[in-house]
Amino acid sequence: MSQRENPHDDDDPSRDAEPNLNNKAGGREEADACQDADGCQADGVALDPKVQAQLGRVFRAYCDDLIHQPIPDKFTVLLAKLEAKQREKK
Amino acid sequence: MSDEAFGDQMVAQMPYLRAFAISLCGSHSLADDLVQDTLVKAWSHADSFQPNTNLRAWLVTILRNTYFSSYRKRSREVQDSDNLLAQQIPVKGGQESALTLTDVQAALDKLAPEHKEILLLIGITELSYDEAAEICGVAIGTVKSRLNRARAKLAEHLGLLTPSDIDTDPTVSDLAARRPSRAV
Repeated sequence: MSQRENPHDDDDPSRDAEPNLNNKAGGREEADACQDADGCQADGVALDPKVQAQLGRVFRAYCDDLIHQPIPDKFTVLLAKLEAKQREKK
Repeated sequence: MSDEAFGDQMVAQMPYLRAFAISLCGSHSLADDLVQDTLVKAWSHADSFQPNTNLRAWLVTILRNTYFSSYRKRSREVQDSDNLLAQQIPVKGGQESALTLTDVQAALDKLAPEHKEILLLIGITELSYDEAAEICGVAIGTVKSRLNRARAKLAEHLGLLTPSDIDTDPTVSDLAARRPSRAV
């Protein structure tokens, strides 16, 4: 019996390691939930690169807007209370 | 980890947690309730957090499960998306400049829940594909294919697709000439 070959190995770890989507690098447009080229044609849903770039910019702006919203003080107060309560328990 | 260190690290995760919650719920007030519930649960299960693992992924898991078990139904009733985002600011650049962030929220809300969720997990909470796969309880291949479908749908809902992406239209031939030929 011949050994099975697997030319389309989807578990290639090098593919998974790549777009961590940590978009901290600022101007880098590739690393984004709406923007990495990895596997875009894998299941027949291919986006035009130009559309994908636009989508990436739009979606990144949306995410950044939400992430940079000021955190209401009530959460700082709540976290301090929870921490104090935990300390009491011990 | 000391309680103090744990508390400090929770504070550092707040922007991501709250952003994820706002986007999921489509309402600030509901999102804040969800974040509050998440923080209370996190502290009461603090012992189950394993130091040296990703605290954000752990918190996002709690928030996500809380959302699906008790908030999702309510969030469909209480969408007050008018003040969620800096909506007056148009998204920069190119033809899509007429789009506002509120348009993005509306387009996300039209997606299937699993598609919206995966975009937010990767885009807002900035987790890895591996972590997203674990949180959603699916294989990493499923994460990738969901992302692809989610992107395509989002582009469609935002009106970013040119006619040639939907059917063939010769009016965009200049675009076609500039871009590399597409692998089919």
